[in-house]
Amino acid sequence: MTQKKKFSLSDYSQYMVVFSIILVFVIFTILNPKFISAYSLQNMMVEVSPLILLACGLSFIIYTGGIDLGAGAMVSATCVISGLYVTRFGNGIIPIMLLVGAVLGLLNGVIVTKLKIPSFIVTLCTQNLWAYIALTLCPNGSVAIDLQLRKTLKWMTAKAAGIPVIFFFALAAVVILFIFQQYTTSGRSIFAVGANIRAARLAGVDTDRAQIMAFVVSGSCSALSGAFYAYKQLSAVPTIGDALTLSAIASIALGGTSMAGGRGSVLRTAVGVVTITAITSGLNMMGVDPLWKDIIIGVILIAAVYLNSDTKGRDIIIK
Amino acid sequence: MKNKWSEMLDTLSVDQQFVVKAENDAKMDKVRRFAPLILLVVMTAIGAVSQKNFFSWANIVNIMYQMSIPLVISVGLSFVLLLGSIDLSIEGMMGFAGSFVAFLVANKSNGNNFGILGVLLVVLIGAAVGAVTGILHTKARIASFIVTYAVGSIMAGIAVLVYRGTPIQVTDQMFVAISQGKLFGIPYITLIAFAVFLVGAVIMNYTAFGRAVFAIGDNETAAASAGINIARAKIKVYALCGCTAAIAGVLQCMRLKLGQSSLGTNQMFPVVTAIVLGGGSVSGGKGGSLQSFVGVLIYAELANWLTLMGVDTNMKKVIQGVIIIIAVALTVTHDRKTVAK
Repeated sequence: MTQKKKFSLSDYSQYMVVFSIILVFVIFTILNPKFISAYSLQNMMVEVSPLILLACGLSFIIYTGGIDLGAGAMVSATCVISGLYVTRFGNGIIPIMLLVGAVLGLLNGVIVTKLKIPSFIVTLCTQNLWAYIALTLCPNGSVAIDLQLRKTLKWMTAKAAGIPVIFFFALAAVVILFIFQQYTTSGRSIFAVGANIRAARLAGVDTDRAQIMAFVVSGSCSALSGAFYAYKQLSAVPTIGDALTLSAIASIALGGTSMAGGRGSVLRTAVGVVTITAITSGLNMMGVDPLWKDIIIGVILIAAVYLNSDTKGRDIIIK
Repeated sequence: MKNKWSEMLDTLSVDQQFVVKAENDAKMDKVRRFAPLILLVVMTAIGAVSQKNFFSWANIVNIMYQMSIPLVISVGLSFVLLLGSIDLSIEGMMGFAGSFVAFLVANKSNGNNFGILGVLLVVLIGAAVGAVTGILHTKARIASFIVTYAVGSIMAGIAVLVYRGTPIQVTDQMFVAISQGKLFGIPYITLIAFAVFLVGAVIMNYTAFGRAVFAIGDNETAAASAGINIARAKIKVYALCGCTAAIAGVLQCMRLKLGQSSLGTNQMFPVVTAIVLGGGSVSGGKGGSLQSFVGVLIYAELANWLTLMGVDTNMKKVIQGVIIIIAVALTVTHDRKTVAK
């Protein structure tokens, strides 16, 4: 089938993420050559790793056409749990957090699919539960991890061949998630649900299972991200996730993943995260007031979603 | 039970299915109409038992005072929920309105003294930002929870930029007078809130625009076929919601005589809870101003009781979440064809 080409901005939105990351790095390097110094890049790698995990996991929910507004709160809760219980379990806390995250995600997924409530309502409600966990376990703000234990946790931010170990973890997670989304039946069925849930159901896809799977994957990734923040900050921080939901959703949108579901990629999301982090840290290095951060990310989110949105389907109702 | 239900639907012919569905809808409507009233009676009874002077004028005024700001927010949010959309920008907008109005009227941080003009300007900005949100939602075709989430973050960011670290203390005479003044023992803030509610109720029930919002929420395709300008109505709804959120922010600022972004924190979620408790639906078409009023009243009594029981703020939010999920799960249609994303 041949299609007549007519210029439309949204046709080029798939290249948006590549353009923007190049643009951001070029501009900030010109403004401040220190921006791509080894030290600054190493810092950025530590900075992006937990956010990459969070955003790549969240991508799967977005693929189904849903959303998780409580992703950041889940990071707070799991960061607190990791920070407080790492003294008992040592590095074994990482697999434990994967499991905890899967359970939290399962709860979201089951409520959405079995009770048939839209995900933005469900996650708006359940985020209060995650916040409750975080703030009840840490009622007086951050709790630092024991000094003696810190030595055993340092390896995460230590550098191998100049690259922080935590970044290798993030890369490995992206590769695993990419294989999951491209080459497994579960991964493909998650996309099918987002593209057209009724058609997917008629084609024999267990749509409930696919949706729940997306929430479970996202929950595990958020929890791992929370554990990484605990390792990075060497403390349990009950408010760490407050601003992360916005950054994660903006990164996904900037990557070119459709907010309506059905198309996208964790690779794009990862690049989106690097771009967003580069923008905020670049502005920081230039001495821009950090108060501008949320405003800028909010504007990026709206612009990116607009460029990605499918303007052809005029008859689709958007609520 | 659910499976039996859908199996039964499959064995019926189309017209029988229609009858079953209509009967079911009628039953649901009845639940929607009477459940909130029963809840209200129950909550009032609980209040009367657990509190000595529950029916004293002082306590009634107190409950009305606690209702004021949620009631103002509920005016705009009811319209948005009637559409089946959501406005997550309310908290950011309130924070902005409170901070900016504090910046404009007489205060301790700068020499501004715009008085009532400042209040009008802030409310107008609220409506304008709401309209922009509506345009982005309808014309740029961005789902409401995304665009309002982003706009909310932007407004909260601007709020903090207005005062840069030190919250602005308001000294304006009008603000002081309104926050302390009473008529027949009822605080001015409560009276203003009830006036805003009445205006909202008139708009919802006695204007073509209000009827159009009901029609869109019930069936958007049918409303479009009937010649309703969907985009224009939605933009108006978001402008109205922005406007009432700004008024709520200004009232919050009057109450505390302080301008800071946290004026909006935890303000939206209780109101969603209240509207759902009153019989409103998050998927649109159900509810109304009276239902929202009853919902806010139930919520105020519930919050009052929870505080009395010594439940902390974080637990209260969890309870609100559970209430919303249960209420929505009870009223949402459960047949096999329903899709939730």
